[in-house]
Amino acid sequence: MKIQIQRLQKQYSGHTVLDIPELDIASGELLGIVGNNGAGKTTMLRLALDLIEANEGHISIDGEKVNEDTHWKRHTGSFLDEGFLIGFLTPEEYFHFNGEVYGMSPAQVDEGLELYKRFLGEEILGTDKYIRQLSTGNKQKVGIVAAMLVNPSVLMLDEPFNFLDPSSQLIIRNILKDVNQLRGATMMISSHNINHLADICSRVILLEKGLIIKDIRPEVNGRLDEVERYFASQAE
Amino acid sequence: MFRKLISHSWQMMRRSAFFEKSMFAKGFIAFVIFFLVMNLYGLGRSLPLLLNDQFPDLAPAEWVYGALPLILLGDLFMRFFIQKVPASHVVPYLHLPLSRGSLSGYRLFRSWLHPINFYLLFFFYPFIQMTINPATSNQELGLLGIFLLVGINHSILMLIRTPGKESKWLGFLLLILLLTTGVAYYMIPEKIMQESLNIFLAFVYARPAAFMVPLSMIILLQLIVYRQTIKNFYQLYESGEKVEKTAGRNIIEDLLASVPVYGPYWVLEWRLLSRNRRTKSSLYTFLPMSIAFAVYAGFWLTEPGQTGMAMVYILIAGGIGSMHLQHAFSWESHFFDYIASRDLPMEIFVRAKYYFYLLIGGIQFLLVSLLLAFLNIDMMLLFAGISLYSMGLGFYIYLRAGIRHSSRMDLQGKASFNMEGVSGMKMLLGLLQFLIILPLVIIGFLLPVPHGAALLVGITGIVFLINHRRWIKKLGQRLEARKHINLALYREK
Repeated sequence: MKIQIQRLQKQYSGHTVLDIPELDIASGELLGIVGNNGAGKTTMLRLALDLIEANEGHISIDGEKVNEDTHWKRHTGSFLDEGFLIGFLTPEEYFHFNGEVYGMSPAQVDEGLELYKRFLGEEILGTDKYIRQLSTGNKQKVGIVAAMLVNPSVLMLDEPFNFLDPSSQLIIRNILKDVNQLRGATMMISSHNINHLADICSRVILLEKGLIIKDIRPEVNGRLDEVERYFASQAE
Repeated sequence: MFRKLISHSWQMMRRSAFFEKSMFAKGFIAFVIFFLVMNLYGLGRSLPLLLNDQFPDLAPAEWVYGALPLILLGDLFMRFFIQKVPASHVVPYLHLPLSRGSLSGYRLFRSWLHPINFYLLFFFYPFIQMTINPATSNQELGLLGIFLLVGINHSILMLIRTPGKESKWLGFLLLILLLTTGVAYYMIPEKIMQESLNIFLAFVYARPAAFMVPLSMIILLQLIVYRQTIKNFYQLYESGEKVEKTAGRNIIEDLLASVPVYGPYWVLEWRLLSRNRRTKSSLYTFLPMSIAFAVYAGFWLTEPGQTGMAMVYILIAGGIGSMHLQHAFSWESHFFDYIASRDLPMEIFVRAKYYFYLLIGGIQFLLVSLLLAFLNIDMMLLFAGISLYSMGLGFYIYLRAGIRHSSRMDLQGKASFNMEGVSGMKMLLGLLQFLIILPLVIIGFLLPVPHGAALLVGITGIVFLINHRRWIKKLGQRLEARKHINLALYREK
């Protein structure tokens, strides 16, 4: 599914935090979003999920403006922060509720969970803990799995590698690659980890103060040297 | 799916930290709820007899049903402080393929489940049974009528608590309505009481219009709230991005900072209170509440006999406790890490905390005492006694109990000190604050001096105030010994 952004602007207290004149994300593309804190990465994802209102312009998924209809949500999985989780449910209950909302049967959910068992580890399933009792890293895993479990055609994740141990980071990196390549899902993933993004993304945009200042295709431009040079220059 | 959301409401309540306490605490909570309900029920049953006894010229029904506007306005006023209608519990559903309409409906449905929508029924159920003849009228319809009137209050509050244009003009309209009712009761009390009685009689005589009017108002208000809620879902995420107006130093902080030794601690304490939604509202409402209390006590509170007086003592001491001492209890706030990880003496920290709340309590004490000195000198003595008790022994109990309290305030605004964050035993210790005054009051009643109870609780408070350096030193040592355990417990939570 194609994602299109047109004349998108978001302001807080008169201050522009995101300004994207145009951006097309092709169907099946895995877009990485990088930028320093406050660059507008999360704002962009929140706008794409219609969680906040744009001051101008719009985002459409498969030709459907996200703020005008909710049909696109049926094909979109997402996890931006802990606020997406329902703390008083156990992870199993949450996965099943999520599946039910997306029209999946309990058996389909269980079948899907089998694929993520290694990633989820032993501290999440079958422990009878509520989500609110899990560690931050485990909550992150629950959120990511819930977003992918529903076989979305569009997947949006904000900092998916955060709070995860090194092994889990590598597992999720491979899972994301598979979901993108095997299922052809269109993805928007923000991250501070350039190495992971360089490995999985077909395209990376660099945001600075709400503007896209670089649009790179790693397979064309090689590694994300350009992005690394940018961050190095910012640190000097 | 709506049914699923409703089942989540139940799970949310059933699985809240509140219900994860020990069986003893659960039993105690159940007892307190039962006690309150029985109090209301008992009041409903006994009020007709009391009114008959005290005011034989007017039937109890005429008194109470004639005062419905006042009762409902009181109910509305109380809702502003008690009834919270957070929209945040729909946040986890916003990204899912669920219509915003059903989420808005879910929020409306949940809000109806608040106990404040039902408490008046526990009073009116027996009262209607005692005052309405079932042979000529319908008691159940009378109760339904009361519920509908309460429902209007609920819908008004929902609208006010849901940001939007309508909320602003409704707030203004309400203010006018409050003033008009007050003036009308003063100018033409008989007329207003008669109209109020007529409305209630229309309920029990099953006049359809009597039900249609409040029902239509509820539907209209709920529809507006429904629409506003859908529009406001965006604000759930956007509010976090807006610049907090409280950020940055202000005159109060400058003043607090200028105090030698305790200044830096006071600034931290002030920021903790003023940058947390819950504590901020109680901090900023304590002055108007104090004035309202003084006016109420000055005009209407008279000595109702010793048992009643004992209740007044407990309620006022408890009221002061829940206003200020709850924060003192929650002293292991986030800046506790900062203090605990540096070479700062705990005794100074405890003393700074004590003086800070003493300052707030002192302002309240002076303000209320001054007003009561003019309005009702007996009540002034009583209030002075209880205030001194609270600022002395009361603070000691809370600070002492707080040493072992290991949940902390959340600056994000969701969890300041509240019953949910406290284990069962510590919650009971907190509740003791309400009751520990009782033995002193009983001994005070036995003393052969006027205002013996007020004097005794006041003197007890003064003894603790004078000796505060001594007990604070001990508390400091206890906190020093306990700090690593508390820090470890915070990490686990």
